[in-house]
Amino acid sequence: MKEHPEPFDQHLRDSLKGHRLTPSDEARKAFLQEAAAIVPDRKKWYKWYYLPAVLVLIFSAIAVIYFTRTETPSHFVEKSAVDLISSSTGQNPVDPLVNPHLQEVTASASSSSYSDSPFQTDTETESVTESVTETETIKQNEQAVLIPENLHQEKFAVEADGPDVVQEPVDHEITGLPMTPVMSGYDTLQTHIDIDSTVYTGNDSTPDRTDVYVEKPGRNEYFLVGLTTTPELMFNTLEGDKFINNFGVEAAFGYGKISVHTGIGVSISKGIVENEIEYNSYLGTYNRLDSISFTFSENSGDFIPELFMSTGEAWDDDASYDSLEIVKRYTYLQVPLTLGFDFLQKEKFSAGVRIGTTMSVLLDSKQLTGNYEPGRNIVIGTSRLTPDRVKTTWLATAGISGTAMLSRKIYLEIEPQARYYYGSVYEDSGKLKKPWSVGVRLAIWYKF
Amino acid sequence: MKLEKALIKDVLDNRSNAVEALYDRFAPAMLSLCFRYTGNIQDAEDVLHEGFIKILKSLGDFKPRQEHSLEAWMKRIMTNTALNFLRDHSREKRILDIDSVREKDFILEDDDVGTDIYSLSVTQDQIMELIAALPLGYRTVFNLYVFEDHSHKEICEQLGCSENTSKSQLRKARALLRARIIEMANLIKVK
Repeated sequence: MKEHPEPFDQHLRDSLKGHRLTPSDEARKAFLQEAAAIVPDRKKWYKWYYLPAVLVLIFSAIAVIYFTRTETPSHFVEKSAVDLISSSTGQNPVDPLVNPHLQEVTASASSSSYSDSPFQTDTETESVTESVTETETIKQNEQAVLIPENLHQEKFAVEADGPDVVQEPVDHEITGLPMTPVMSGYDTLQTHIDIDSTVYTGNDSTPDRTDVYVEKPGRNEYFLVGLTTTPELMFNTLEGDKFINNFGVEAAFGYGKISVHTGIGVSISKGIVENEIEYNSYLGTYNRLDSISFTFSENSGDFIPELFMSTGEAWDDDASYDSLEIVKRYTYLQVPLTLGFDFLQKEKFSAGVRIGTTMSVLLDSKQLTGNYEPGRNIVIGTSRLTPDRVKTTWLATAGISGTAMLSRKIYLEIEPQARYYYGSVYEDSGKLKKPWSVGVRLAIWYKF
Repeated sequence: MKLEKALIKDVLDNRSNAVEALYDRFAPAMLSLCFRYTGNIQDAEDVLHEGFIKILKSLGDFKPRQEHSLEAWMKRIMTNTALNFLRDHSREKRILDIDSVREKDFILEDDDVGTDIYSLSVTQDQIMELIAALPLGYRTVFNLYVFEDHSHKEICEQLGCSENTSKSQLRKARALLRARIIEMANLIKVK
């Protein structure tokens, strides 16, 4: 306890330090009797409304793990073959100086005019195959690159699926070596790559085929991070219609048409707290008779009174009432969890529905207007008429969303939405029906 | 603090005698606080009872990291309980009553002017009696300001009065208490 600036106050504090009064036995007994029936609520933080928050976190974690670790197997094989070769030899396997065989393939691929044709044909495939076959004799002599046996097996496992996709169109350009086409967002690409042409197994056995058709499923999954704002008009509150501002940072994990949104945000609203002030009103001053002295007048034979007056102040004994409205600002922390389904997906625009729930926890309330100023009246008591704000509340959200692509990485989303509050926003939930609101959510997204 | 933590844990675990131990440890200090507010021991015990029930019910909310100590936390609950009690039980629900103390009560006798109040031998119980004898409004403001370290702003928010009223009542409480302490010390001297 800090030192008191007034010495007299500090003296009294020091004097009464450690002062104790022993409660009577009756008081002790009465308390222990009542206390026996009370079980202290030690697990308050286990309250039901925290469970969904935990679920939100778990769900988000799973979504993050799922969407970030997804890598197509064919893509992996293709890359790792090159990487492994490179790392085992210290040389670049696609370098013509290291692997002259590749030059053949390059020439063959170029002559087949892949770049001019929107579709891959059997004939063209065969031309690549033939050119590679011609060079098979070279590989018996040149042991430029060795790869592990298991990688070779993996290659053939992929090869087995090849013919199933050979008729699919190829919409990328092959300008040199067999290569991986540039991956693009949501498109499902299928490509035709000759992995075998770049690989020597080091043994004398002749591979069955040198051309491999690898299906490369497109990357349907995506990950977005964005800023959101939602102006919202709430109805069914004690204070009438109420305007609320919501801001937040959100992340969206999507797979095809399905998406999951979560994040963290704040919701700011103003509220009015009404108090009833009971007071004794000031009536004014009056002249108070303090004393009377009498002087005997010998001339008249009378006692002449002399009045000693002082000024007093008077207040009404009957209580009067006044009301005071205090404006407060409430800040809630919000954690949304929203599921989305896009029923329309165009190249630069998508539309969908969103449905979800949001946990709202009161972080802070700040008084914006002053306290009651009684003037010369005497305040007897203050009663709060508006109930306190609830600490934690949940709301359901539903909306229709439209997303436009502003650039390759930036998206703008507009979502008219409606919200329904599961519980009242007031502690005294019996005061009113549950609130609901309408709003427009705006989000700017960055795609990773 | 370790002992307090262990005690809290035992109470929350519903261990036998833990509540008794909590009561026996803190009730005397809390009763002293209640007495300062209520001015009589019966009311103080009522407040103590009510306050301890609240403490027991909300002990799970006590956060040792945020609070200075369990005792400080309990004192806050007791103070609020006492203020509610005074509101509920005082005449016409007023804590800050109309100034009924005569001005001459504050005025020291000529002989007493200049008395070194800090050297007077007055016991703890006597000081407590004098504080308890203060008018309700004076006593409440004095307790909140001096012992609970509340500012006048906080006091007026709690009691629903203006800051000037709070300041004025505190000033008068000090003067009255000073006069009565000297008076009591003189009485003891005469005896």
